Amino acid sequence: MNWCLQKVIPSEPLEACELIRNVIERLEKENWGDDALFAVHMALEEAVMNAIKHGNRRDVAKKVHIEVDCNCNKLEMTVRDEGAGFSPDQLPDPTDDANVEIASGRGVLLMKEFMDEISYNATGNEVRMVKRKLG
Amino acid sequence: MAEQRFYRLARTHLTNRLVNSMSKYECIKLETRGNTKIVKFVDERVMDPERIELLGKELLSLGIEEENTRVVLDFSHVRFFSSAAINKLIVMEKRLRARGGKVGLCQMNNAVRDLFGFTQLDIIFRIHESEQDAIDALQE
Repeated sequence: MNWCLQKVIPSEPLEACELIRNVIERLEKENWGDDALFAVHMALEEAVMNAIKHGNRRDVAKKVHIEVDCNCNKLEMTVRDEGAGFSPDQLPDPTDDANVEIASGRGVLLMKEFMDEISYNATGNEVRMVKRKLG
Repeated sequence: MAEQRFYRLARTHLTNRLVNSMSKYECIKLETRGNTKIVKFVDERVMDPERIELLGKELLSLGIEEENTRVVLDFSHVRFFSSAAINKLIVMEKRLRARGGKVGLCQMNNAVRDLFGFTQLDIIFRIHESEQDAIDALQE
C-alpha cells in the first residue's frame, strides 16, 4: 500500500515519539519485519531528535518538518530542521578508541548503518533516508 | 491523539506499577542469582524520553555504592532500544567499573546486536547468548 505522511512538529521530544510510534505501527501492519522496523525506528528517531536538539537547539518556536513516503517496498523519510545546518563529514568518529566510551554522538553513524541510502542537503539541515523492504 | 497517548501511557504505567508493586523499580525487573544481579527491561520499546531518564536512574541504583557489583542485562524482552538508552548503559558501566564491578549483556535480537556492533560498543559490553553464559563470564 502507498501512503504519505507529512507533519510539522514543535521541537518537543514527546511529539516526536508519537509520530514515530504511528509510523512504526503502520509498517508493522504492513509486515515490514522486526529488523526493518528496528532500523526505521532507529534512523527516524535519531534524525528527529538531532533536528530538535542540535538543529533547532530545543527552541520550541522552531519546527521540525517530517515527510514519510511509503511506495510499495520503499520507504523514504525526510527530516528538516530550522537551524543553520551541519557537515556530517566533520563529526568525530564515535567508534574511535578515544570516543567509544562517550555517552553521546552516535546518531549520524546509526542512521547511516541502518538505512539503505542517506543524503543531506547542501545546508546540512535536511536529511533524506531510504529503507527497502526485504522479500 | 494526545488523549490516546495519555491513556496509553497511563495504562502502561499502571500495569508496570502493579507488576512491580513489591519493587522500587518501574522500568526494570531485578532478580539476584548468587552474587549477580539480573536486570530485565520492562518496556519492549525503550524509547520514551521520560522512561529512559527513569531507566537511567534505576540502573544507577544497582549497587553503585558497593564494590565488585556484577550485573547481567537481559534483553530478551526488548524489541527496540534507542541510543539515548544506550547512553544510560554507558554511564552505568563506567560507574560500576570504577568500583571493580562488571556488566554483561545477553539474549539480544539481531537488530539490537547490530546496534552494539555498528557502534563498536560490543568492545565495552561483552555480549552473550544466554543468561547463564553471561553469569558465568562475570565470575572470571
